[in-house]
This record gives sequence, structure tokens and C-alpha cells, in this order.
Amino acid sequence: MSERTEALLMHDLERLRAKGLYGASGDSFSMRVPGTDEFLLVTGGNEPPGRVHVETPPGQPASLHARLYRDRPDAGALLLGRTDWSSALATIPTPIPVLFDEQARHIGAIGAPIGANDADGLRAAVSSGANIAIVGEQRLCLGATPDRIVFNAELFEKCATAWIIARSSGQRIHSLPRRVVTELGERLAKDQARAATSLAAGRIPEGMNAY
Amino acid sequence: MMFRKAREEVVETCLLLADQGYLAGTGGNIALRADARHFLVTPSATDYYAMDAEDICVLRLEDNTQVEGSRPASVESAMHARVLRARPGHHASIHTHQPVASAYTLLAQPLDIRDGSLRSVLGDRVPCVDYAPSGTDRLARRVEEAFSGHVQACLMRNHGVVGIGADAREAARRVNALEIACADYFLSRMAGLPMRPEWVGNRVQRALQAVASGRKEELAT
Repeated sequence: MSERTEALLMHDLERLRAKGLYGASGDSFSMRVPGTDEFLLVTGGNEPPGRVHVETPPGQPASLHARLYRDRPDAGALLLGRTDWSSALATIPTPIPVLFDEQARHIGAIGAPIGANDADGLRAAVSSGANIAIVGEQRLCLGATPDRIVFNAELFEKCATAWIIARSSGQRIHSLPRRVVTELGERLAKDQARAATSLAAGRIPEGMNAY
Repeated sequence: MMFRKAREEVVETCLLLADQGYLAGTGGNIALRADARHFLVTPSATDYYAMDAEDICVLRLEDNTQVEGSRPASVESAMHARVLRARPGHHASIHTHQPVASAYTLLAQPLDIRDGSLRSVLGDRVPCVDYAPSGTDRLARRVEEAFSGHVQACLMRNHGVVGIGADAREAARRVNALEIACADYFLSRMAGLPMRPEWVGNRVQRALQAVASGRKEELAT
């Protein structure tokens, strides 16, 4: 399983790089080894991933990834990194509203930006099941698989870009109806419960669903 | 395999749009009329970079029954079918989640096209259909209604856009033109409303200018 985990992680690392979603200083990407208490972590450049235990990780960013794997059993992979739009969102105290169906379905409600060292704030930000949080100038992205991380990171770019551009017009911005947000959030929660079950049983969660 | 060449064309068009950042993950989908009774549509929730011609679904235009394709068809198949049935002279329907036009859909208003060269591609006004959840019959009916006249593209509130054309190339040209028109709109609004902090305003402006100028060159070719 560990070899397959590493292959998946490195494959999606290249996809993130190709899309400009990984590669800034301080970026890190990891994948839980299903059925174990360990994850594989890539930081920065081209070094092979390191194997890290979720209980005793040394230093940052390993300890942040470890804490999130402990708090979110549905998380099979994590991406922490800075993009232009995550830095821009960090300057806006208002949380980005739920604007699109796929945002509600795959990301959930993104909270207000939190400080880079605010551990309690981070725990609160992801405890609702949200798959994106703005941490310092970075965006934290959670997903059941590395593939899902690629799509969630792209989706976040779409949502952040759209919101910031729409704000530039000074006009009223329309959000999704609340009942739709609730319904799609329930589907996301079901997916997350299934992912947690798969990961605990040593299986990589199944792929993506539409709406 | 039925309609191999046309299915390959759908894959090529998806890659082109994905490279432009118009499909945002697995968002967006493409439909092509294959013959008088069938249309092709992209599969649901599929990574466009891992998609083959065999994955493209063949559906009956009359009732959306899937007759070929290795995966389930896009949840927006009914919307594309309605558009293709409503506009028999058009054979391609492209739905994207392109960034600037998606931002414009959050304003929930039609877009008047001021630039003459864009007007020749899009017409005078691009309508915006009211919100309905993705994949629902309500959304499909609203989009069909929007295309009942001479409209060439439409905006969908809190969602994305649809562009149609005689072929995939023309439909892609229309969604490109719509992206430019939306960038022009936001640039004109920003001129009177400085954004804070300044570097974010500058970043937004650069992004919009890149769309407006770069894609105009593409459109001219």
C-alpha cells in the first residue's frame, strides 16, 4: 500500500505543479497511508516523500499535517500552500460566501482567514467538514484522495477568483440559496463518512461524484 | 465504436478548454450533435486529462437515453439536449465554469456587449438565467428558454456559461468572447472604484487585462 500511496502522491504533485497550484516557498503536500497511523509528506522541492507518524511529527509543517489527520479521519490527503488568490483572501476579513453548487458539494463553507499559528482556530475551521481554510497567506486543502485535492484546489481558485473579481465591481453579490447549501453539505458529509470508513479499513476511498 | 471521429473532437475540445482554465476541476461539459438522432456528451465527474474517446457518451436526442459510452453521462445532458433541439442549426453546446464570466454570474444580470467585434460573435446582449441547481430539469428548461431566440451564449447565475455554435470551434469562440466581454465589464467598473489593499486591486486588474487583451488576439485569428 505504501508504494501505491507514494505513486499516487507523486503523480498528483506533478499535476498540482503543472497547474501552478504547488511550488511556492513553504508549500507541502501529503497523503495518509490507509489503514496505518502514518502519512507520506512532501515539502518543497524534488526530494522523495518522508514517512511521518501522526502522533510524533517533528516540526512544521509535519505537525500541522499530523494534527489534521488526527482531527479529520476522512482526510486522505492534504495540501498547504500559497497562491496569489489565497494571499488576497487573507487580506479580506469577511469569509467567502458559498457561491457555487460544486463549492457547497466539495469544499463546504470556507471560514474567515485564521492566523498561521492559530491551532485552535484551525481546528474550529475544519471541524465543520470544510475542505478549505485560509491559514496565514496559505490555503489549506483537504480531500479524500490526492486526486480530489487537485480538484478541490482548482475549485478553490475558481471560487476565490470569482468572488474577488465580483467584489471589484462594487455591486451586490448573490450567494447560493441556503436550502441548496444545506442539501449539498449533507451529501459532502456522507462522502466524508464513507471516506473515513475506507481509510480506517486500509482502502483508498473511491473517486469523485458529481452533484 | 459509434462516431469515433466526433468523439475524439469532443476530447480535444475538452483539453483545449481545460488548458485555458475553463473547466475548473471536473466542472463544465460539452455536447456535439452526432447525427439527426444522437448527440455526444462528456461523462459525469471525469478528469478531462484522463478521458478517452470511448468515455464520451452517445445519447438519443429525443429522450436522452444513453446508447454508448463507458461512463454515466454528464448531469447536464438534458440541458444540452434541450439546447440542441431548440437550435437545429447549431451542432455544438459548450458549458464552462470559466473564471471571469463565472464571477459575472454572481451579479445575476444580463451583459450588454459594447465592443463591436465581440457583438459580432455574441450579439447585443447575453442573458442571465436565474439560479437553479446543477443538473436539474428546472435549470435545463431555463437555459432552453434563453436560447429560444437568436441568443448565442447565456450566463447561468451562480454557475457558469453556455455557448453554442455551428461546430465546437465556433462554440468555443463564443465562450472565449464572453470571457473577454466580462473582463471588459469589470475593468470598466474598477476604473471608478479603487480596490483595497492596492496590491489586490492591481492583481485583479492584471488578471482581467490578460484575459481582455490575450484572448482578443486569439479571437482575431
